[in-house]
Amino acid sequence: MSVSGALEEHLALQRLRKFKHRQFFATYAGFPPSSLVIAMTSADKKSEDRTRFDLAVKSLESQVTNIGAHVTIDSTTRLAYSREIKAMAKKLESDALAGKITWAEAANQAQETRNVVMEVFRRRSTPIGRAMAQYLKIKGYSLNELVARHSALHYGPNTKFKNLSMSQKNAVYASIVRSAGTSNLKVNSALRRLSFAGRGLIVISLGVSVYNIATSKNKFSAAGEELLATGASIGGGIAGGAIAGLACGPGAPVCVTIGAFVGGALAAFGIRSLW
Amino acid sequence: MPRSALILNGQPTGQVIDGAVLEAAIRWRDLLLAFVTDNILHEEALHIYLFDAQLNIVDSARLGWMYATGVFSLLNLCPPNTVRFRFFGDTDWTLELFDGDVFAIPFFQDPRGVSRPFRFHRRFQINGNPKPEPSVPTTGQPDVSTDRDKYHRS
Repeated sequence: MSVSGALEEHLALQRLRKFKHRQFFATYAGFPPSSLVIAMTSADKKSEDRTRFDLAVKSLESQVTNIGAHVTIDSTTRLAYSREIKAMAKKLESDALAGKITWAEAANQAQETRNVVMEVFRRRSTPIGRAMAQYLKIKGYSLNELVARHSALHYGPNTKFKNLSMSQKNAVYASIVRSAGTSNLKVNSALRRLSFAGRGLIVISLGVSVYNIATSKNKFSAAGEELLATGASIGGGIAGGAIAGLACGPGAPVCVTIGAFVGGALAAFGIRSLW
Repeated sequence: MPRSALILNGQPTGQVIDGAVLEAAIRWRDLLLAFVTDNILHEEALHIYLFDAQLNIVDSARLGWMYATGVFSLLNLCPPNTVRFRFFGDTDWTLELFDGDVFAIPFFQDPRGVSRPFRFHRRFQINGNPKPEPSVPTTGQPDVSTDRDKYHRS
């Protein structure tokens, strides 16, 4: 063997020692060093690709939780909003009936309180929910317009509010209060169904995590990884959605949804890679 | 959801539509265009129906969105076949009526906030350039309509 050939073999063997999987060395021990290195590189690349693929698949699994969490938070928030404005209208109605406030005050408060409730629930939504809520610029009735509208609905199209009796005026105000406590039932029932779907996705995701933990060799480590990746996916999704919302401006639910998905996937992928 | 039975000349037609308050009705040739709202103060939706002479629904559309509300006001009729109105989105909406069925791709040809039954033809097209809500509301109050002071309802 020439000096250069011996040196080449020595360097190849040195490189081989650095590999974690010693069994490859044993398998290919009878082959010349150059072919050994090629075989090891190819096998290692395959293994690396496989690991990356597994990571990507597991990150996508975490997206199920991300989507489930977003859907559950937004639909629950919507249903809570619906309950809250109904409770507000009932409270104002009972206060007016008890004589604590006048019906005119109740009607005025119903309009103002709803806007406050709306703002609170917008803040409680995910960035996707907020983008959905901001999708269209709204236009509301003034109290005078409401009074005119409800007077016409109750007492005919040519009715003038100032000509009504006190009890009729109170009936108009009461109608406004009750109207302020209603929300679109179609939206409510659609989001109730979505809420179930969101919880279903979370259950599926938990099932996959339990399976991953049960089939792993180191169950403690796998449980930690699943927990962190799931949390990172939800947190990354919310952060990604918020960043996309800033970038795309208000009322851009498609952009924010993409941001939430990408943010969740990157966060889950990052955590799993680090683990 | 509020629904209404249609009565023609005092006789029930058996036709039931979504909505509670008839905001406007316009006769166009032998068809009738109706604008109906739900009367839900803070989440109003506008249903638009095109009926034939027997009050069968020829085409329909809905303007509505979660947490969004609007105030309907008819701006004007632009002969021969266009109606302009306002609702939400801080835009003037136009509704163009067609003589016959016109091919249309569902979802993609409708502005934001407009939904229609899934079909590949339509008898009217709604156009508008609705704007989103600003990210930070300045007063926490919705944009209160003053259109009714500015425009006459037909």
